[in-house]
Amino acid sequence: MATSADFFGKIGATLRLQLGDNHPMRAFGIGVLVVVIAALSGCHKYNNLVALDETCNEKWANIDAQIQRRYDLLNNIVKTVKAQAKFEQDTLAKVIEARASATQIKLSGDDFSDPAKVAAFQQAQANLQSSFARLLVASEQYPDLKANQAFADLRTEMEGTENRLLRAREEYNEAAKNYNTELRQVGGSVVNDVTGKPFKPRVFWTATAAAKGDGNAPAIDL
Amino acid sequence: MSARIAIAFAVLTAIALPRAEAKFEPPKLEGYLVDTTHAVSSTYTVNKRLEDFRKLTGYAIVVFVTGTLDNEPIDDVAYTTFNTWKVGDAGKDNGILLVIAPAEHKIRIETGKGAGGAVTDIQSRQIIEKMAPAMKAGKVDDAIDVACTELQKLVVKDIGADALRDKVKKEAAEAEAKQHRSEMVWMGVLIGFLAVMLLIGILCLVSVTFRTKVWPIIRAIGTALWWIVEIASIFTGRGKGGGGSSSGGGGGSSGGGGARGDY
Repeated sequence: MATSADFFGKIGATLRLQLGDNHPMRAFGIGVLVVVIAALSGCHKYNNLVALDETCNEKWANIDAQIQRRYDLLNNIVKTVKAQAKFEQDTLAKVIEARASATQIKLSGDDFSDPAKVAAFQQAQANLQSSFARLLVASEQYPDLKANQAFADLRTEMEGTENRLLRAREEYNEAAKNYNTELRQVGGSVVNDVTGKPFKPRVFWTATAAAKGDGNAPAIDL
Repeated sequence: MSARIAIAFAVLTAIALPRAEAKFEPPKLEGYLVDTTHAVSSTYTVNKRLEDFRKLTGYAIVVFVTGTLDNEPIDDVAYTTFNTWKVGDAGKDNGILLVIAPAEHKIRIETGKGAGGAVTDIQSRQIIEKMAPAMKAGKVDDAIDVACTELQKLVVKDIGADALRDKVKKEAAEAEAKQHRSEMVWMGVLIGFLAVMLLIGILCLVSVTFRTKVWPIIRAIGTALWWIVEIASIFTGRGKGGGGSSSGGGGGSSGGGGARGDY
């Protein structure tokens, strides 16, 4: 701080020497200086926001990859279960339906700041998860299915995917928190206003009971 | 409009925050085996084995036998511990953490992103199944032995046994070359020293001036140097040894890969 005061003091002294004490150009020069400094720190804030926003996008890409994997695995699980001739058709149909409607909702761009769209996305994923949980519970009654190695492997892979998804979500929320904090701070909001509000706060992906992987949730637990 | 967004935003923040931090706090990582139950007797062997394996392959396998999970899912405990210890190398994320909770009868294998190809979730579960009989019999040492053997097999298979053999050969050749080089250097120093001594001896024989004027100066300098070396060795000689024991940490992170199981 002391050094910057010295720095500006020196510039002031130079201006005074060059222009005299009451020259109108002096005030003008100081004005220009203030604008330049404000613009520089504004640029810094802007870059910060861009970087934090980009981190959020990266974290969301992780989530996306795991969700894609979830869809694929679900497909394979449904195939394996279908091979089991007498499996409860109703349960199976619900999973297929939930999967179909979940794949319809994809978030991008401004959607991440729209509470309604994020909520719809979360709801679709939660539905998918709970219908799958019911399928797992139902599968307990089919000894052939329980003894099926391919089915056991698919379940393990699904568990791994769910756990990765949980971590990816935690990391996304953390990144979104950092971004939102920067955006809400005085400097951040001023820069956002000046540049025409290109930045919008991101909505968190909140955990539903089924998604948490708690022991008491009707679950994907072994 | 913007006020409504602000309110919605504040509410969402309030909902999302409680789940941010986990309660479980992992102990300090020392070496490659941390055992808070004191039930493992093969600590030295396991540490040595996993340290050697990391030197050989780069993969860090760390074993954590915990007395308690603090009522948390073993997935969370393994994830927190993995990322606190930073198992594996930064950028490579080639760490594997085996968590055993004897009190809760649970096991989890957590794999870093870079280790997920060598040890898949399904293979992790199979290893846990292989550990189960030993754990049921209360033989933690045997269970750890089985797990380490299986994990190491998978890693070696992934890298390729031939590639590893070549690497070992290359490293041995390099070590030998280095040894050879340092021997040559010492030999050179010795020969140089002898040559200088010989030169001084000859000069002393031939020239009276050298013997009476120059030689005493050389001798004084030599004596002073000898004392300096002696005194320095008193101070530097002590701190030797003891340093440089490694641990399984190093900057790796986990994205939640692996599998869990009960026994």
